[in-house]
Amino acid sequence: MTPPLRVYPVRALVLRRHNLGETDRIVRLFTREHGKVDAIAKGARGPRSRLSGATEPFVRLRAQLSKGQNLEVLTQAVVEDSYPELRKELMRVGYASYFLEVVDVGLEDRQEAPGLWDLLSEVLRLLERATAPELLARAFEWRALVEFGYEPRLDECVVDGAPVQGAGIVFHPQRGGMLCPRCAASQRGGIRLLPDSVQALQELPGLPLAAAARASLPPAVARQVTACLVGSVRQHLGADLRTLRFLDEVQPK
Amino acid sequence: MHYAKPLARLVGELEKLPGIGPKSAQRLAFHLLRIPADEARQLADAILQVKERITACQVCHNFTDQPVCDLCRDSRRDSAVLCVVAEPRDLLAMERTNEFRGRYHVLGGVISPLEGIGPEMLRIRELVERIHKDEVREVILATNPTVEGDTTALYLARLIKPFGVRVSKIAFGLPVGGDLDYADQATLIQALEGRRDL
Repeated sequence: MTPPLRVYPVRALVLRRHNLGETDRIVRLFTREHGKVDAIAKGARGPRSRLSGATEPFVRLRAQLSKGQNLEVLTQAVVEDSYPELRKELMRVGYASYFLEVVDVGLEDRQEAPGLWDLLSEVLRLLERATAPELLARAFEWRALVEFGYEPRLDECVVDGAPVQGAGIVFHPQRGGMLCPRCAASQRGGIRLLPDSVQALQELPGLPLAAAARASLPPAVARQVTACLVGSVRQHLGADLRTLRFLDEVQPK
Repeated sequence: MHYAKPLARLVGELEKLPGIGPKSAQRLAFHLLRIPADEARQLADAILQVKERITACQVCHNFTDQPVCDLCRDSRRDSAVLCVVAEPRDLLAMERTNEFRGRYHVLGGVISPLEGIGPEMLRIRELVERIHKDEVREVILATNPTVEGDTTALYLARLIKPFGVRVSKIAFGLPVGGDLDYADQATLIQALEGRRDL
């Protein structure tokens, strides 16, 4: 994409923000056009600022950015969707924060990723109505890993290419996918999967997001699928994600 | 910058203050140079006094120069109604209204999943102890209308409601003297949800 003009329009999702000085904020925007961009929102903490509601995490904007010396300046912003239902339930706040953190950690500054932008915007919309968002989170993780270029192999063994199905299959986040029983025997670590978990993982890439938001897996299968996907995210992003600790804390025990 | 050493030190120290950049630090330092020595000494003494004498109230965790603050010792205030705020400055804002006659609890921050600030880092255990000890009837959550403020309020409501205590949250919406046309979608939704009969 050609370098942006001095003032340029973007569609953006607010990933995070922090306060600067008395009334300003620095917002990290995930723009559809130019990837991750930090911008200063002047006066955004004032109670009557037009930017105050537009610089909250999870909000989707149409905005105008102006090129600054160090940071871009957020000069105008119209909220397209503030996803208000996300802020009314603890688990939804937790999952939404997790999705934002995955995107923030996984992307370099200004790395264009319109597919990931569409995914995040859609998954936040679905999360607003999801009653049990666990499977939606797994579907998001799968798609995000694909966008980052780390697609785990689910249909054949990552070592010898043998087809994987049935019992004795191991998912190995460090090896990047499934191991057949023969190869799993010589590998340490990994998650020994129930046959239903193998099937659930193999069906995940074809599962529409809207269906994932309505469905759930049996508890034992859900635990294994979660371990596989979260393990892969941790492995590939190489980070201890803060939001996962929060999700763990607020999860109904 | 070619400052004399003591002046450079002062500018350096002032720059560490929030919201003070190199230019403002220089302006303040030159101002301090111009004022009488007595005035400068009073400022230095005030800073030291605050550091030496101000602690957290043992009950509400507001700033105080005594073990228990004036608000917690005031017997005319209703100890069965507790207003929970994030920071001492929020308590001051509530007090400026002259409307609230209950007591306060200062959490010392807000839950922020994205910044890694969890409930265990706030004074929530102390809040639960107070609710039981003071036979609290109502807890008013007065957190900011931000994602972090809302998350903290949701967490506390989930924790406290099972004790049979009324949990309320201060209303959010349009600022007094504000303009509907300037309000964003999230604020208007909150204002609509919090509407009242006339």
